[in-house]
Amino acid sequence: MKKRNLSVLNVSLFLILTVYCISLIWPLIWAIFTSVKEQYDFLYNPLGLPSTYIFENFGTVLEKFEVNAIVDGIQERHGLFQMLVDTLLYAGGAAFVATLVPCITAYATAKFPQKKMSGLIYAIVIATMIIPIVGSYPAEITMLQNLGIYDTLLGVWIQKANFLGVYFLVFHAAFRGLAKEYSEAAEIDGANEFTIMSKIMLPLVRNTFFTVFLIKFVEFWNDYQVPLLYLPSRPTLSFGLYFVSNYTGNTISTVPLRMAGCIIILLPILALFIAFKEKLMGNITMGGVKG
Amino acid sequence: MVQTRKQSLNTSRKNRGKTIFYWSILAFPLLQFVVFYIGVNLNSFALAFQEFDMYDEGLKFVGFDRLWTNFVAVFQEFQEADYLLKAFNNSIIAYLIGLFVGLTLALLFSYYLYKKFFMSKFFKVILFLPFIISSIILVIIYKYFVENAIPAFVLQLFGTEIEGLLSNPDTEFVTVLFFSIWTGFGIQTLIYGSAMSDISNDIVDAAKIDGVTPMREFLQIDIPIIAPTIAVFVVSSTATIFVNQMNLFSFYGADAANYDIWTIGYYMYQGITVAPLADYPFFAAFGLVMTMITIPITLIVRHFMNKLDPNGR
Repeated sequence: MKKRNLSVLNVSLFLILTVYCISLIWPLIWAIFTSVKEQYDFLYNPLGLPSTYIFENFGTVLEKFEVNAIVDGIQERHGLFQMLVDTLLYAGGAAFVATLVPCITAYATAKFPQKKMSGLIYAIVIATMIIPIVGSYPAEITMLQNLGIYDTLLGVWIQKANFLGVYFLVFHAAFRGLAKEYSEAAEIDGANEFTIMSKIMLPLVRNTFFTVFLIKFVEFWNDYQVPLLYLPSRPTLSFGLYFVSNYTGNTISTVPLRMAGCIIILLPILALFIAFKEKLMGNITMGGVKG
Repeated sequence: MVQTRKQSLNTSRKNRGKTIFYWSILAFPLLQFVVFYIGVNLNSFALAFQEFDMYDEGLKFVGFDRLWTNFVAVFQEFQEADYLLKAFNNSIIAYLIGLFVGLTLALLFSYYLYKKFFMSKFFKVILFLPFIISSIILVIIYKYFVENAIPAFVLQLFGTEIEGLLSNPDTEFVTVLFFSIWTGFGIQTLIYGSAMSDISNDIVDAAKIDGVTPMREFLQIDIPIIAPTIAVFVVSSTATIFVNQMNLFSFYGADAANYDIWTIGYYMYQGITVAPLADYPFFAAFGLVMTMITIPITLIVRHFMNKLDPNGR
């Protein structure tokens, strides 16, 4: 720490941050060591290093990680591969639509601010951020059932394809910040509105689009509550972890195996984070909540 | 004249094209909003006035003579079931402690990151971890850590045997609340830090020349400038007071045995995961009651947050 920065505030903050980071990292390191312990070793030595390293725990999880799925009212067992496929379909599809819809809605409202609907959409986004709706789960389930899309991938994708939320504001700010000259030049060259949007304007915000997509992908990859309520026939990996952690009588019931399961599911997201650290942690800021 | 007519025809064709484009790209988002926001909330409202018909095995309107029956049931439940009042209090406690502790730490940490002090890049990455790691993974690790590793650590260090922090009813709520705050403010820190990095260097330099201390700069310059960003978080966390489950579903599934640690968010989510169709109207009425309580609180908090913004933006 440079001398000029050595104020009481800075030193105190450094110490608090260090303690906080240790408190976050310590359980993770503990989980890694626990994942290669034998159950007996864990019970008698929960804190120390493993007496023998049992890497087979990972193989056991890969082989035996299963979860109950209700398909057409019949209970089925889904293995790791099936859960991975369903996770990719759910998280990938939901993240794509949850990024695309606010993006194009923001484009239309930023491009045509003079239209009354543009102002209304902006007001709706702000209003829904500050007017809470509590407990609409039963209504959502019955709505999806009435539409015949309950417990389908299409159903959850459509459910997630809304323009509400903070990322609409992020895209709106991004499009408002772009120079009008780009679209005006294309217009003079005879390009129609669809071409201007898809070939010129959307590529200009591709970094923001990709960042929002990544954030949403991580969010949906980690989410188990939406699949639990709205997609019971396609349990995802996070749902699988929830299942083995809270229900007895499953195949990975020991603590070391559960830790190994956590690490296996964490690895792809950690790899994604390492690959796109800068994008994920980029400067996405947001405005106020005044309507 | 002919050219002017041609030009005006062209302009009107272009405008028509723009209007078609505008409505065609907004058609799906608006339809989705109408069905899944307006429709769902109207449906939720309608459900609150329905009941299960055993003969038809479906839901039907309760009738005007018993219009408020589900709402009466909600208030009766509050009167008779102690755990519901406790859950209400727990939701408020989780909100207030989360707000004051989480917000204070997030602001202080974001100042550290913004000033790019020693190891700030490393801290930034670690603060981001709870966002990328699934809450269910963090919960599983934390659950076994506080149940097994912490008692072993205390025994090793002090020679005292203690119960697992979740097994002990006296420490269970605090342990779950701590987890919720501990993992909850990292992303706020990064966004506040990002907002602070937009503060003009001229302002900070002028303050330095005037001999302003770091603490005064933080309290009287940085915080007021990022007030709109703080307002977003404070208002949105107020709006979710009764949605916040405090991760209880991840910890215990649908059957947390100790009712004393329940929150309203947990009560509603676990209820709907196990409830038969017959109970949907009760939960819909319950949700409406909670919405009616949350709206004025959120609007009051928003009013005060707006007052904090020195520019009146």
